[in-house]
Amino acid sequence: MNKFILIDDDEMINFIHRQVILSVDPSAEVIIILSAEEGLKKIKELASLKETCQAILFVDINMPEINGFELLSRLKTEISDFKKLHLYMVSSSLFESDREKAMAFPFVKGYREKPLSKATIKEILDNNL
Amino acid sequence: MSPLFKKLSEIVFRRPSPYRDAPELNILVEKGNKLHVLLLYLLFGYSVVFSFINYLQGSLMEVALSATPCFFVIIEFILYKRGFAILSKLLNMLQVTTIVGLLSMVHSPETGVLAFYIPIMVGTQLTFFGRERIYAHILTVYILAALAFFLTVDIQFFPSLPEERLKVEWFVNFMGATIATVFEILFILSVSNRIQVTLFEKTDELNVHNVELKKALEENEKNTDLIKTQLEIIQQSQQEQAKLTMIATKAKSGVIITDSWGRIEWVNEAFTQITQYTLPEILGKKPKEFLQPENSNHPGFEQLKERLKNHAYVEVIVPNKKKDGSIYMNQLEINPVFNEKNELINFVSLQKDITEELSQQDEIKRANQRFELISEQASIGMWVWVPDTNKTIWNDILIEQYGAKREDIENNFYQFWQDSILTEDKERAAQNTYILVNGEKEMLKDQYRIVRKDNGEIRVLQTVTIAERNEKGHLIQMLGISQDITKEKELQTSIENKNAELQRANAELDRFVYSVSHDLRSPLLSIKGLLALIFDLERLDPGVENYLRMAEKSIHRLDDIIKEILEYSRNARTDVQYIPTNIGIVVEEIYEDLKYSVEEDFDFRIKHTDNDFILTDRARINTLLRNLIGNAVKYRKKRKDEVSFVEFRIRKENEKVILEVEDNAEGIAEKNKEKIFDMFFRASNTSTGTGLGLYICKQIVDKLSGKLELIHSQETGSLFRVTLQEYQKEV
Repeated sequence: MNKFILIDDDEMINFIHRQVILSVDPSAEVIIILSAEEGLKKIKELASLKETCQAILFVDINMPEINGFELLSRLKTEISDFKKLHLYMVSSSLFESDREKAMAFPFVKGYREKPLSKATIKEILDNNL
Repeated sequence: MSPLFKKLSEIVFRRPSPYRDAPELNILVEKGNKLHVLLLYLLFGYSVVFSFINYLQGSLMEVALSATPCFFVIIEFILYKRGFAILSKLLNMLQVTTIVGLLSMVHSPETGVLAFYIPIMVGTQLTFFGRERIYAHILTVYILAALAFFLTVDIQFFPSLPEERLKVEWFVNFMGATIATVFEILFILSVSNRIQVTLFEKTDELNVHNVELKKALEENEKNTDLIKTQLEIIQQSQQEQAKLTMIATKAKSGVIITDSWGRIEWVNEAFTQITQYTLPEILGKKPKEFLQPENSNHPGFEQLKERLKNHAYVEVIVPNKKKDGSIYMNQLEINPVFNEKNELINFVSLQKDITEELSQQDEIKRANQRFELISEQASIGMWVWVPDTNKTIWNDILIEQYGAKREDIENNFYQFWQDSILTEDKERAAQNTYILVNGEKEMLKDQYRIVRKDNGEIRVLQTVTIAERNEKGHLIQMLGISQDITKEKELQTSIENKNAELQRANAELDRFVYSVSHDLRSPLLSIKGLLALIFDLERLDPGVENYLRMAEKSIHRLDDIIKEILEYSRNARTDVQYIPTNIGIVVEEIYEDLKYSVEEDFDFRIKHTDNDFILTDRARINTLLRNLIGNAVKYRKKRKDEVSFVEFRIRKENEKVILEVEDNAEGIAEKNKEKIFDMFFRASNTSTGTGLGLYICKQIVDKLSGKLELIHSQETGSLFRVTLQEYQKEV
């Protein structure tokens, strides 16, 4: 069972993304987290689990309180093993600098524009699992 | 070795010191020595004879006694010849001592007292040298003579003495010694006398010579001085004459010599050069007859006439006429020359054509006036300072700049200047000036604030100071200009403030655009996503789907508008960043993205160069080409006989990079061509243009200092050309 974690404050887009994921992989487990703080907690928890279970994460950049980049910075210092985490940044930003900033983190696998399409999900699934 | 012993050994083993200062004395000493040798021979003979007599009649002791002198004489002689003169003298004394000693042993013990005289003799002989030694010798000889006499008398007083023969022997013995002594005394006396006389004579002679020599020297000196003086006078007068001739002939100034009536006797070359008159032409004429222009009422002529009448020196500038009639300004100097009787004999006149000089002076004056005018008009304060005299000149404007009065700077301008500078700037300004004065720099540009003396206002002065030095680096003068730039400074500050404000506003705007674009797009993208989900549904009413497709188109257009507004604002406000960019790859990426938006056949063409890299702003060039190529795709036209295409070409020529985008799309109508680069202008109704695309393209190319042209556009298609500067390295 593929595990997807969506970290985004926008419930509407979360709903859409979940539908798209499910339309590609109906058996997938999709966890929706509405704030970066919560997301951080969840990721740490995942990383500490002994299981070999892997997860695909979609992290939004623009979030209140802690934004996507701050989340990445904290992950960088707090987590050492990203083997189980396939982390993608997702944004509606049109700024090329956002993409560059995201890709500067070695554990970020990619940067995708919103909304995620079926083709994107398929491609990610093919690449990672 | 003790010094005493050293001295003794030196005395004992050396030859008698020769009289270096009087060779005559050496000869005498030599003669005296010869006499001494003769006496030694006599003693030797006497000794041999008596030894023989004693051998025949007396005891062995008497023979030995008689032979002793013989033995001593031999040794002494050898020593003397070998150069040990003092040693031989000692031996001589030893011999006497021995004889006396032996005599006393044989005859009477009382005569032993005679041995006391020996140390006296030795002492005197060793102590004295030179003339004193001669006296010492004389003394010892006298003593010896006295002894001989005493011994002779003694014979009668000692009746114990045996035999008649011995008495005779004694008598002969002592008479011999006495005679020898007398000889010696006489000789030495004569020698010392002669030495004295010779010395005196010589001294007198020398004195006479000396006096004569001195006289001669003095005479000589006098003569030399006289000759010298005469020579000098001759030389001087020759030089003087040569100089004068040279000056008069070759001088640049014209020279006229006239008689007491003012009639020309002689003129030099320069005069001819100035006036064109040669000496034969004007000999005997008065200068004013031909030099003075007709009808001239120059005040100089009146002065000239007046002074010359009084036979006085005159210096004047008057206009004169050359042979060709042209007028020149003559700087004239006339010296009357008097003889010893104070009679006027000549006038000597020096002349100089100063026409040009005068006009140059005028020129300088005019230039100076112009400078002053300029400085006044431009409100430039000017000053000069001469360190050697500590004199300074300030122009009125400079004084005004400081709100000062002229007397403020007259006493101590430097102190005044320092006092005027605002405290915060004082040290720096003084330091800079110090460096200029004491260093090697030629110029100092400075800016400092002063407090005006009259109203206490703070003003900003911009100054330039120049230090003039001679070849040795000595400061000759300093000059400077000063401008009150308070207003400019205020303006500058306000501009700077405005700029900072603008930058802040820009940054705020950036943040605003960023969040607005995000906030606007988020819901839009949600709709997009939802639509995608809907289209994914299998059962869809065709009518509903049609409406939804229309909604999707509108959303795409809205998204495009947001993107383009963002691009526009980004281009307008971010700085250009040049980085090496492979244009070929950029275009291929654009093609890759666009491929998905075209369902039918579309030919994406690209013509590379050997090296597609150019130095440019990658983000901007990306936006530019994306727009141009995007337009070709967006406005593609279905044609019967050919496939739609877009062709990108890049080439470099004459340090320019030329990018061309050609298509066979619908083209732009003639009447719209002028407006296509305008904001929100849309030339087509067929697609979802925003009216911003080409406007942004134009803005970007402007920002990159390039050129964007529509080369041609008809119904068959369009060709856009971008011309950029080819940069070799970052600018």
